[in-house]
Amino acid sequence: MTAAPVNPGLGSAGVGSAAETPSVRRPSFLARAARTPACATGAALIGIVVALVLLAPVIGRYSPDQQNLLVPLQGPSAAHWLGTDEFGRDVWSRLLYGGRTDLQVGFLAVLIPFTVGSLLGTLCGYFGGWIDGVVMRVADVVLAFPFYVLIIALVFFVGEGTHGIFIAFALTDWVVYARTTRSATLVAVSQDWVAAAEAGGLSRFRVLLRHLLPNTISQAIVYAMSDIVLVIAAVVTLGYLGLGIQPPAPDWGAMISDGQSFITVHPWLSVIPGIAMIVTGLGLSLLGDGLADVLRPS
Amino acid sequence: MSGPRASEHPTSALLEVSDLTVQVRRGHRAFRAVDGVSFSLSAGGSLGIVGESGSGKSMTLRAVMGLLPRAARASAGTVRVAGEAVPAGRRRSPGDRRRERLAMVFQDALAALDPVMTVGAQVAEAPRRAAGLSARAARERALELLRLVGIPDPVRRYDSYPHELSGGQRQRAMIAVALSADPEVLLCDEPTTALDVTIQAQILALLDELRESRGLGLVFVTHDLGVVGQICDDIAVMYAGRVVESGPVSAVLDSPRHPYTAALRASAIDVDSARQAPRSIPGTVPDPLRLPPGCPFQPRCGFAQPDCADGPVPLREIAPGRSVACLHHDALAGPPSTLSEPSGTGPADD
Repeated sequence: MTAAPVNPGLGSAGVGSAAETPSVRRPSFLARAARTPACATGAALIGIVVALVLLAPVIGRYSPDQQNLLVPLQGPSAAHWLGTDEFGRDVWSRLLYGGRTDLQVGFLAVLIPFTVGSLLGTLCGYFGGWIDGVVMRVADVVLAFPFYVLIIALVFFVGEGTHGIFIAFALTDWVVYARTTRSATLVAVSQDWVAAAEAGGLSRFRVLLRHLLPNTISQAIVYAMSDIVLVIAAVVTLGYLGLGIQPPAPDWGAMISDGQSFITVHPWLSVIPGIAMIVTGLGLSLLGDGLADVLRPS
Repeated sequence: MSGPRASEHPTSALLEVSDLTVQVRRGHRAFRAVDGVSFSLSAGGSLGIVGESGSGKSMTLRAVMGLLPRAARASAGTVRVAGEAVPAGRRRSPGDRRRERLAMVFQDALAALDPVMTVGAQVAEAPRRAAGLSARAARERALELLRLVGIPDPVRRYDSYPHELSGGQRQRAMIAVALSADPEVLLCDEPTTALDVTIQAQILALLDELRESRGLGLVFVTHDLGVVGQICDDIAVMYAGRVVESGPVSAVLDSPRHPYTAALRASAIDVDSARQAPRSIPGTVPDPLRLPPGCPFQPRCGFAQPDCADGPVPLREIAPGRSVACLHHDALAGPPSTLSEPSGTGPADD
């Protein structure tokens, strides 16, 4: 019974072994990200999409709203790389400007629920008690409604367009972040380093912000990547239903929806923004997946 | 808030625990993981608490530190730090004296260090936040502590993450974190169990040295009698949540008076003497939800008599500084040779 249990996996270096201390340089976050295939591919895809979208005024060639009724519904040509829609608007330009709107809305619409949800989830997991009870019951109520039904109802209620989308997502999407970080926090709280931090005389606020949050946030970050895809898809869906970004502002949803009438004769009008959507979604999903690997402490 | 014990005196003891009881919920039932434990520690003293897994030794430590898990609560007893009562059990109030005076060293250093924060930042955190040093001074203080606990090349190790350190270094880093709040008592929860023997010896030497150089009090929870013999002055043996024997280490280990202590001794591997092979204790630790009547050790005890099951057996002082919770402790009072005689079946007569 008194024999010291030997754990061969631990502790090879001790006192006086300064010379043999392994001098492993930790590869930087970026280096590890670059070595993770999913992360690198996703980042590359998103990088290209973002670059194109940002360069829209330079490479767009036409204003996205500029109509030219003399050249409606044309196929790809030197003048219009991806052709024109029924009002003679340049599809390539509309695609770039539409991506601008959608990415921006997607990112911003996720930002509020990400922040609020993660904070609430950490609070709930750490403090438990009535805070936890109240927040999680509210979360249950929100989850009881099908996502799209709730979003559409909210957008209908607060008004269509971007601010309606922001409000609707802020009110519904925090639930997922709250639940994710709450369970991650519950796992963390039972571990000794939280006890050690508390025992060290740190305020609970500091333990929460400086110790718990950095440990639990990675899951939320990973989910946020897929969530941007989800939000863009929702924005596109709302656009399709006429509740999203209002014309004449270009967006992929409206493009797909407008192209619908011509789907048999001019399929590219809907297919091209659809492909853009898929590429963006794929890129963000890969990025999220890769980040999960990179952020996990090895 | 005052304890039920008559022996309440304005004490010089740095840490005094009296009649501490911890209730743990399991499903719809509750049991006492710690049942009326008392001990005291003077400045610079060291106490070893030994017992099998589930004897309540770690729970005692956590209750003293205020770090009980959610399912547990301290239902009775007082904890005094330098004469000042602190609420035993869970969270601490803002003015809690424990913050400054007690620190804890955990068994698994990897689990006890924040995985996404550098070691240096963790050591510097308490000086910076609790003591209010400047960032630069806190860093200096952290480097000094890392050096003190014997981490080679502290300047470079400062920016390492816990998983990048070896097991022994990690343990040292955690001790540095514990020392960073400048405590007077270190509560050590099996700090060497996860380490191999050579590292274990180094960590014990370090703790012993800290105790001598800084007058640090140590409470040392372990299941390893050898460790207690090495660095502790006093020992408390726990079984099923109760202290069954306590006293000076040498006296208790040389001539145990509780059959459980004797059995623990006999189950230990002793390389120095040519004693026969270690003997295991028959039976298992009782289910805390179904404790046997009377003395909890009685079903496994080679000395048990019918009256052992009659009622609770209190801890009684049998000599100055020595207490035993056994009705028949005289059975073990003879020369140590009797120890090797009783087998699990035949009770020795008194």
